Amino acid sequence: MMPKKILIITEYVNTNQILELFACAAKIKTDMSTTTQAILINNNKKDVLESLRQYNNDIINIELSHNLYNCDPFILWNILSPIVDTYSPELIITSHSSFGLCFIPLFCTKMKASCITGVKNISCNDQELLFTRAIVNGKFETQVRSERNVTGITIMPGAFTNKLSTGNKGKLTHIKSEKNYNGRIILKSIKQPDKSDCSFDHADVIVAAGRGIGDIENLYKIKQFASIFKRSAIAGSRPLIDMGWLPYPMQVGITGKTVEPPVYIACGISGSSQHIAGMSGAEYIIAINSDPHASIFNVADLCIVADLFLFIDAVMHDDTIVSAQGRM
Amino acid sequence: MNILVCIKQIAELNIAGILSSQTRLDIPTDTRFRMNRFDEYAIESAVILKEQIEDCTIDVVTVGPESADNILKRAMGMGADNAIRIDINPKNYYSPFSISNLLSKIPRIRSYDLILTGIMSEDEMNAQTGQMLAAQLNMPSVTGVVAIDLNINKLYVEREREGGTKEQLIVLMPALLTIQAGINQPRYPSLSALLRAKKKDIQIIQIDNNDMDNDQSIMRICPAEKNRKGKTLTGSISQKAREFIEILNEKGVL
Repeated sequence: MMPKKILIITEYVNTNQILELFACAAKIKTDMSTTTQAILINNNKKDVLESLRQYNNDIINIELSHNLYNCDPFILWNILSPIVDTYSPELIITSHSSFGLCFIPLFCTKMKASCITGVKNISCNDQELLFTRAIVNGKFETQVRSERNVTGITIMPGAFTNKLSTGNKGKLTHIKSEKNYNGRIILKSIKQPDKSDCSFDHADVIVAAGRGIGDIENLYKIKQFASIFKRSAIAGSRPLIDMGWLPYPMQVGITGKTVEPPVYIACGISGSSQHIAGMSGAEYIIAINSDPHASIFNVADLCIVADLFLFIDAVMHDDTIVSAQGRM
Repeated sequence: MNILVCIKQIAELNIAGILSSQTRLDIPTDTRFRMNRFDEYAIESAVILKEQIEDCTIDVVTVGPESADNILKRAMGMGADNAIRIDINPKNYYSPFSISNLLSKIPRIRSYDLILTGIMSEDEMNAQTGQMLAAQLNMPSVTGVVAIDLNINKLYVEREREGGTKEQLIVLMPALLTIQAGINQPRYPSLSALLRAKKKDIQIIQIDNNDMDNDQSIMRICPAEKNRKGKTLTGSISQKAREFIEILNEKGVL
């Protein structure tokens, strides 16, 4: 059954992320009778709220009192469930992010709704929605159907970028939550990451290493390889940073940095969706991996199936590289 | 203090050439199985807590077929005390809701102060089961935990958000935490610990087929679509290297 009422629930990270949620809803809307309502948590940017109205979606801005932690799923449920009940949506959309994942499983459990996470595409087949999501580190995709009347989904960053059409201005409502809920999770402090520059911004080529380099001792070979480019920088995928082989500011991925260099060379990186989200904006992507089925090849412009270090050796021993290195 | 750790067995899927049928991944008979990596971090977190506090028991539970006994034994080798397996038919699909529903039976038999599990499974990547289990038990849940500290019965946790931002939280127990990679270095169980674990009994719980309550169905599985038309280099390794250099030379980055 196609949803007639769509509800978006999000916190404010940036306007683009909210527009992607709007775009997802717009893609599903089949006719004029479908309505979309968006609940925004703690968005104090007036201009953003105003600009979001132009897409004909009603907006409810909820301001939580400062002592309420916005990722306590029970707090969100207490505050939002009356709104959800009144509107009674068939589809709830949120981001596949730490925020979305903190509450959507609880909401779906409470509402006896289906919960489908990590959605990267939605298709319509015979008045029925099919949700496409990646499994097994992005090697495979499944198409999933909801078996409930209500469905909650989280969408992958960057998955929905269809252009939005403007229409009548939606209604804007402000709700301030003054009630004192007894939260069982208390936010003490927030630590921002070390913003030290890794010169990613100035690099033409980012050479990124993954678990496939095998040993911390092999990092020097990656560094040597990177040195053949005029302006290069070294990066790593999450497992390398977790193992302490490279420092955190060098991590590329959802939980690290997002980079868009002219050339990105993934060395021994399998291509988890968390890594790909951080580098898929690169202009030209080269993947070197011994596993021909590695999902990194699905986003690469140039695929090199080879033993990483044999390949790097072959490059370093090529005449043009040898003579260029000799000149330096 | 009682801790429950929920773990999952997954197939070693980086083997090339896994066939896909219409709706199920066909796991070849010679496939090796192992513990979901994120769950290894969860067990290690529990064992570290056990080393710090007196009177701490760790139970470990999985929903799976008989072959999943191996990961339970490994968990006991790492330091868990008791193991429970909820027996299911591997031919059936169980959605995260069904799995959390089955798991919720365990804390209803014995109460736990803390439930830990990995942030997601590497195979299905839903990142839902922990939060759903907490919802069913009316427990607070924190996702993506990268540090745990228990100090005079107060639970301090650090939660990772996007872009490396971290939140420091105090959580009232009983609580459920989903553990992110990198929180610790999961230990390798010693041979003697593994041999001891092998002799331990695993409690098996049989289920009623009415327990299967899938909120979703998988209609199709296929290899992931390519987002870019990747050109694959062919030839010997030195030919590949030559072509790679030519392409980068054209781009003016060498």
